[in-house]
This record gives sequence, structure tokens and C-alpha cells, in this order.
Amino acid sequence: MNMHRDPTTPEPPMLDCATAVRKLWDYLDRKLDDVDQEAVRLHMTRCAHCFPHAEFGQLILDAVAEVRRAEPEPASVRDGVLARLRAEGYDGP
Amino acid sequence: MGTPDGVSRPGANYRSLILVLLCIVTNLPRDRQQAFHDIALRWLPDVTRFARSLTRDETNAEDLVQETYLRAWRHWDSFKPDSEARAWLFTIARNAWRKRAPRDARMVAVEDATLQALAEQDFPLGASNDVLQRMSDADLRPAIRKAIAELPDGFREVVELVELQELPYAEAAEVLEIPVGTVRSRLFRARRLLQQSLLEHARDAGLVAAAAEKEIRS
Repeated sequence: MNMHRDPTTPEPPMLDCATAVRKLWDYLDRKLDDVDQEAVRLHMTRCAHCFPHAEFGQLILDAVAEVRRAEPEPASVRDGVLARLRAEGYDGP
Repeated sequence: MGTPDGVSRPGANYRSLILVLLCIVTNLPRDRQQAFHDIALRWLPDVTRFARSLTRDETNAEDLVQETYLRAWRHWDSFKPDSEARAWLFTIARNAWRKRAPRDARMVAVEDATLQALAEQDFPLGASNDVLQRMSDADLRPAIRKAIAELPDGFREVVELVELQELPYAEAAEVLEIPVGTVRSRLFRARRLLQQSLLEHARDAGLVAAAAEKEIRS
């Protein structure tokens, strides 16, 4: 499970499914504090019902990230913007 | 200040000062333009994408980007150097769009209750490893783009700013003029809607068999 856990530190209490799912997006965004992050991680790895939630959540985030990276740069837009700006006195690069 | 002939001339100091001031004054427009280029124009790709998201139309998006930068240039002196230029530009774009769009096409924030109802409809509670594997192996980008484009405005703009533009919640909240908590809740609900759309896409594409679909919706 957690190979880096200090053996003297007790494991966080097991979350119930509703709480774990409620915290899922914050968990996937890594916005929880360390204790909560670990508690949700433990729940998701041990609960057969909730594990697919985490997998499916991560799948959506990965798919959105792919869209973000694949977005093309505008080609013609810059010319139009600069033309309008130059008509207003902008003479920069 | 000395002179080549070693004779001090009282007027020389004033002339030098005037020359320096003239240099500063004539260079001000150049500095202003350079700053606008370095700080505002660098975000042109992001503003364009945001404009596309607002207008859902390439021609309108280009017009809106031009209008945004024109307004930004006219009001450049009011931009605070320590503030976030991208969020400032997004705010200008959004306000410009709200003013120019016809009433029926204007971005109208959907009531949160409506958004919540949409988000909670038939939420898929899980998916088998097999189904998830098939979906992650497929190219989901077209489906995701389509799903984002079809989100209700109140969801789409949050997804655009937070997921695609990677703005912090606080900056997105500022642009959208809503509380940070609302940004967060709309984002999470939007993600659920995207999941729902993706499952429908997977079903239509044959990635999810009928039996697996039952499992997903169990």
C-alpha cells in the first residue's frame, strides 16, 4: 500500500463511500490536505465500488488535458488584431 | 556640466535636462507599445480560444478577439502591472461579448439549481475496468470537444477557464463574477456531465456493449 508510511503513524480512518466520492475531484486535482488525500487514496484502492469512480474521473481529466494540448494556435487572428491596433496608433512589434 | 572650451555655460544644464525629458517623453509611447506587446499580446492564443468558447463561431470569435484587444489597448493605462493580464483580457472579452451578442444568443448564467439537476441526471456510478480500458485506448478528443461545446453556458465557461486555460479558481471567479465556491461546484458538475456524454459516445461507438452499459449504470 503506502511504502513510505511511518510505521508509528496510524493509518487514517477508512472513509465511507459517499464521503470518498464527494472528495474525489479534489483528490484527483490534488487539492486536499495530506491527510485527506491519503484517506481518499486508501479508500479508492480498497473499495471495489469506488475504484472505477476514480479511474473514470482520471480518464475524463486525461481526455480534457489531451484537448488542451491539441488546441491549435490561431494563424489569421493575429493579423486582424494588429491591423485594428495599428489603426488606433499601436506601432509595436 | 563642462564644455569643450572649458567654460561653464549656465544654460547648458537646462538644455541637457530638456533633452533628457524630451527623450523620456518621446520614448513613452514606445515603452507603452512594448509593454502591451509583451504583456497583453502574448495571451492572444488563449484569448482566441476563450472567444471561440464564448461565441461558438469562428468569425464571431475573430471579431471578438479584435474588439477585446482594441479595448485593452485603449484602456491599457488602467491595467495594473501586478495583476493577471490574461484574466483581465478574458474579462474584457466576456463583457464585450455580453454587450454585442443578440439577446437570445447572449451568455446567460443558468441557475445553479438547473445545473445541478442536469448534472445529477442518470449519473454513471461506475464503469468496469474493461470498459474504461477500451475508452482510454480510444481517441476521445473529438468526443470531449463536442461534449464541452454542448455544455450549458454556465458549465462551459468554467470548464474553458479552469480546465482548458488552467486559471486558478479565484481568477476564474473574478472573470465570471461568481463566488469561488460556485466555480468549484460548477466544475465538478460539468465533469460529471462530460462523463455522461463520454459514456453515450462510447455506447454509440460500440465501445460499450449493452451488458457493460448495464454494469456502468448500476
